[in-house]
Order: sequence, then C-alpha cells, then structure tokens
Amino acid sequence: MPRHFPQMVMAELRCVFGRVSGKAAVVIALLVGLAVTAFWFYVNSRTIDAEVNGLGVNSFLDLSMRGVMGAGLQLRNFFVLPMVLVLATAASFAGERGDNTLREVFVRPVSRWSVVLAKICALMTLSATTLLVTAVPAMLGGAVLFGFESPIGQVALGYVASLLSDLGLVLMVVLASGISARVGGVVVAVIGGLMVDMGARALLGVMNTFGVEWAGPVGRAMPGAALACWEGFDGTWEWERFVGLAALCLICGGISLWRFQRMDVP
Amino acid sequence: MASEALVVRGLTRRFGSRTAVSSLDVRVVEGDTYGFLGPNGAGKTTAIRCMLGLIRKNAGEVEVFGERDPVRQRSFIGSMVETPTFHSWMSGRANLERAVAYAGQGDKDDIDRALGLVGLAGRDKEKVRTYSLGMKQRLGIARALVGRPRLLLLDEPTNGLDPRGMKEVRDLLLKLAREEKLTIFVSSHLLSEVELLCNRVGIIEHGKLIAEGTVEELLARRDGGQLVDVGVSDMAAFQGFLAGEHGLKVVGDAPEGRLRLELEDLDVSELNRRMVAADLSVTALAPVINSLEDLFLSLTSEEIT
Repeated sequence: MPRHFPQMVMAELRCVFGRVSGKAAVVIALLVGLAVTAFWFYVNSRTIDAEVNGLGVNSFLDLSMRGVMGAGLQLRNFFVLPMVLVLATAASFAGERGDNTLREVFVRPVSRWSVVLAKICALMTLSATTLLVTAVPAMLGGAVLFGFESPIGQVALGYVASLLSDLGLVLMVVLASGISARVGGVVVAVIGGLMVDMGARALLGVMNTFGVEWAGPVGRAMPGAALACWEGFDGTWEWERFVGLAALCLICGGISLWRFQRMDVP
Repeated sequence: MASEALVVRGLTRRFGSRTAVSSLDVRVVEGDTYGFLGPNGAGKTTAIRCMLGLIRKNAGEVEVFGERDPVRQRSFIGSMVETPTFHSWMSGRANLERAVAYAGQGDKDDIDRALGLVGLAGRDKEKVRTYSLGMKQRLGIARALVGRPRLLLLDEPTNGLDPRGMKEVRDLLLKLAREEKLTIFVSSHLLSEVELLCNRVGIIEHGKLIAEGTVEELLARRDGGQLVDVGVSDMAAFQGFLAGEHGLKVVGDAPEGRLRLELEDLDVSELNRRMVAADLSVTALAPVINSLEDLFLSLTSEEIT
C-alpha cells in the first residue's frame, strides 16, 4: 500500500462528490430522510379510516423512531439511490477509462490495485454518507414524534448491512467497468445481470416449492438476494444472503483487480 | 559522467499478428533532449506506452535511472501521452492537485511553480472545459512536471497546436532542459521540431529503431561528398569546365537555374579557385547543408506529414 494512500482517497473523494451523480446521491438521500419523517408526521397526526382485512391502515405502521428509520432505509434502497450509486461507480471507473483520465493516474508511481482500492474507498464513503443523511433526519424526526423508547439496534444493523450490500453493488459495477469503458454499457450490463438473477431466483423458488430443498438457500445466496441482505432489519436476518454477498464481493473484487492490473490503457 | 536516464532493451509489443514495436533499443543519457522521430504509425506511441507501463510488453526491459521496478521507476518520470486528458469539470489547479496526490511527492509550491513555468498561473482556477487546446497542452506539461520528475516522456507534445503554440511549447521544453536540467524524451513526426529541440535523435520505422545518435552524427552519416549549388553566367562554358574536371559529379538541377554538384575529393574553396582560374563568372556558390529531413527521407522512404 503506498504511503500516500490517504491522499489518493482524498483526491478520489473530491472527484466522486464533485460529480453530478455524487451530489445527486447526497441530495436524494437527504430528501428520503426528510420525506419519510414528514410522512410519519402526517400519518401520526390523523387517523386513516381505510381498512385492510379488517385492520386499520395505521396498525400496519410502526409508529416509533425505529419505524421511521426502517422506512427511511427501505425508501433509500428502493431503486433510485442504488442506481445513482451505480452511475457514480461507473463514472469513476468506466467513465475514466473512456475519457482516458484513468491513464493519468496509472502513469503515477502507484500500483493499479491501489488506484482501484482508493476509488472503492471513496465510493463507499459516498454510500456511507447517503446512509447517514437518510438515517439522521429519520432518527431525529422519529425521536421528536415518538420519543426514544423503541429499540433501534436491529434497524441500525440494517443500515450497516446496507453499507455492505452497497459494497457488493460497487464491486459488480467495477467488474463491468473492467469489460466496458462506457458508462451506459456498464449500467445496462448491471441491470441486465440483476434481471437474469431475478429470473434465476424465481426458478429456484419454484423448484423449492416443488420440494428441491437446496434451491431455497441457493436462491437466497444469489446476487440479487444478497444485495438485499439489509431487509432482515425487522429481525428476519438470513445468513445465506450474507454468504452470497461475501462470495459476490470476493469474486467481483478479485476479478476486477486482476483485470485492471493487466489491462492495456490507451 | 552522466548516468543513463532511460535504457530500453529489446522492447517488443505485438497486437495479434502485427508487431507494433520490434526489439527496440533506446539509450537516453541524463541531460539529453532525445527526439524519438518516426512517421505516423511507426510505433512511437506504443513504445512510450510500454515504457510507462500503460500497455504490457511481449518482451524486453525498461530501466529508468537504474530502476527496474515499473512502479518505482514512474516516480522519476513525468509524462504526457498524446492529447492530455483532464476532468474538465474541475479547475486546472484541481487537476494538478489530483496528480500530486497520486504522485505522493510535491506540494502547493510545486503546483505554483509548474503553472508559472507553463504560463497558466493566472488561469489555474478556471474550469478546464474553458481552456483552449494550447492551454490544455500546457496544463498537460505542467501536470507532467508536478511530482518532481527527472525525466519527461512526452508523446507528440505539439500535436494540434498552431505554429505559435508549437513554438511556445518548444521554447518551454528548451527552458526546462536548460534551467531545470531535466532529461527530455520527446516523440514527434515533425522533423523541424526535433532538429530545433533535441541533441540526440532516434529514428523509428515499422517499430524498429533504424538510426540513433546526435543530430550531428546522423547528418554526417549521409553517404557521398559535400553538395554544392553553383550558378554561373555562361552555362555552356561551365559544362565544358565540368567535362575537364575530375572529382566533381553533377547531381541535378538546383533552384534558380543553378546546378547541384557533389564534390568528391575537393572542397568548396578549391572549386571556387578553379572556376575563377577557368574564367567562369560565378554568380552563386552555395554549399547544401544536409538536413535531418534528407536523412529521414532516405532512411524511411515515407512521406512526411
């Protein structure tokens, strides 16, 4: 590891947070935290007459600080922010390959894997920042509305798990960026890959229904399920998802490092 | 005794069945301004990319100030490969700060100094997207200078510049060589540029080094005697003079109605003396200076762009 690795990460942070995708990620994450708090305030201040299966709508909602934070986590991880993170990662790797700015750091006295690592560190800082700016308003809003009584340990673990799943997503994009030097190509490849994964999980689910026992755990370890490991924050953690996430990170990270190490840079 | 700044031995790079660089040997001594000359597509950029470790080599080795480790040897090198690229949404200074962060050496003063050297001191806070091509080229050189390099590897640094911009870059490189004592390795297909800038030249064609030496050494390599353009008022009398003289060969016509002669075993003053003695009225007697262009054309048989 180069002695000046922290400076490399700082330089990458400047790039990641300076791009439109980086700024958008922080703004969207903040809006998510505020929107969830506002919604819970709205729901808390009135009774909704509608019923589902004989139960009032309000009874479905966890009117507590934990509930607001959990909703914030779910909304934060619902498509838009992960997509922005995909864009930010693709811009950092495929984008810099495409416009040849990656060449300018590869001619410096640092190994390529340390460059890749510095970029991943910066992107994970972006991920952590978005989680923080969602969690803090949700937590404060929830505390003001409902007090501190509800335990938030599980939902806090959900935020940590979400950070891990973001690492998996980032590494998937890095892998795709080792193949394509176009941001659009990388985004299509990642979405396409997750759609194939979704189809495979559906098939495994059907097999499991028909008695194939191994299909259940394997389906839960598939990349799409692994990236949603945070969903267990309501106490339904599934270890297979974390195993799948670890495998995803190791495979994508390993291949990416190998690929960037050997890549010819024009 | 000056040390070897860059030594390349047997460098080979193939793309499929095509060999872009073939057993290339280059030796650059510290303090040299080395011109890497060759027609378009000769393999100059591929060779430089191999030297920088941007692309893998199939064979050969590169040594920079005695260092063989590719990562460590890059701490000696400042480089600019073809058209420099930047984060256009960042300022010129921010781009240099990024380069310093990755170089692991250099500071704000180095950036200020590099910007001052290339004449961008007042424009460094502007976004790079607002820069002209010439400014980007100069910023690229500034980026190559941060990190305190001892060797500059520049690939076609005047590419795309107008004549004024070319002169500015040339003057800057001469200044860097003279005042900063930098060793400069510059590739170009522009003969005039190399002739004005470099003390040593290597000529590459089809990926192979076909000639190397100081400019004077290379010019002296031309076979045959001194060429001289001769003008006289009476050409018929002159033809008669030539028929009776030994050690002279008519090479062909020269501009302004003169004849180009090759002097085999006499010099220009002797020729002048004999012509005057033969009562010839000499209107012009101009030695033809061998140029790098003559040599380049004779070696490469390529059209110069």
